[in-house]
Amino acid sequence: MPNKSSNIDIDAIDEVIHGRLRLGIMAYLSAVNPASFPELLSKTGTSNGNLSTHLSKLESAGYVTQEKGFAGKKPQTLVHLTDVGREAWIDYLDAMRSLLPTQ
Amino acid sequence: MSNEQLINDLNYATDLAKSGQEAPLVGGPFGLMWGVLLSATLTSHWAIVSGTFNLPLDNLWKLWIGFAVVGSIGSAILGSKVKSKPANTSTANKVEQSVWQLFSVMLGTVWVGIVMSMIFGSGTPQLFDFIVAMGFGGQGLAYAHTAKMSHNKWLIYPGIASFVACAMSMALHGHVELYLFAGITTVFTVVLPSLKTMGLENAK
Repeated sequence: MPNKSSNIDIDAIDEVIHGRLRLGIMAYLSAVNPASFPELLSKTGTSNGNLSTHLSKLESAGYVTQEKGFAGKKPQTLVHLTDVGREAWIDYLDAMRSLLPTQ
Repeated sequence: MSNEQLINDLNYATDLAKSGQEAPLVGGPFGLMWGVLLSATLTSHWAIVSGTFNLPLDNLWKLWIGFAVVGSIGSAILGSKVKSKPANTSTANKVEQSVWQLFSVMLGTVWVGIVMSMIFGSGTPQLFDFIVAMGFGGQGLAYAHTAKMSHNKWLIYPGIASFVACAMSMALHGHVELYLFAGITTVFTVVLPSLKTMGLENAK
């Protein structure tokens, strides 16, 4: 049973999503889908390598897919939120809502 | 994990989600290009038909073919630029792109129907007057729908103006002044809203 008054037990929370950066990626993709890699870089304010690492984790879980292509002559990576990812995001928000202390 | 840390992370996620949800519309340059082109073409149409330009009526075909060609080339050029803009795929932008694409399909099908009527039936060039009214009506629908589905509630005003212009266009059916009216009204219902959209985009 989670303690709702002080510290929160996050066992019930999807660990793939939870984590500041992955949470941010999922939140942004829930509104802008797909988003380009540079767009996610600029929005999350993280480094190239860090973003790649966290995107790979989300991709391994099937929550996002990365599509390599070209925008004109420039290479471009588009990150798509998958249906499974959207479902997991909604479940995650529901879990958070149930864990946070009610006023 | 402490409550404070969790709440900070959630606030961060909320800010990112909001920045996506409230992303500006990126279609302003399209509207501006089509608005200026359409306004000039409609006014030229009036000038030819009314005799102001003192040109034969068969120039109308050249005028409208020129409109379609220049508009298509402009759209292709702007399309690649708009695609690379951040938040181009936000829900509001997807809605905007979708309604305007369907709007052009609708006008295209009406145009095909009129041409078929003129070739195989008893249609007269006056049937083209209907496209003006349908254009304003479709425009109103596109604006109103985008306003409802995005944070750009102000778009309802050009939407209402477009619906009024639709009614006025039907009232002017068969009168040469219809095209002058449409040319001027397009400045207010397309050019100015597009400039405002671009201004809001630049402000963000």
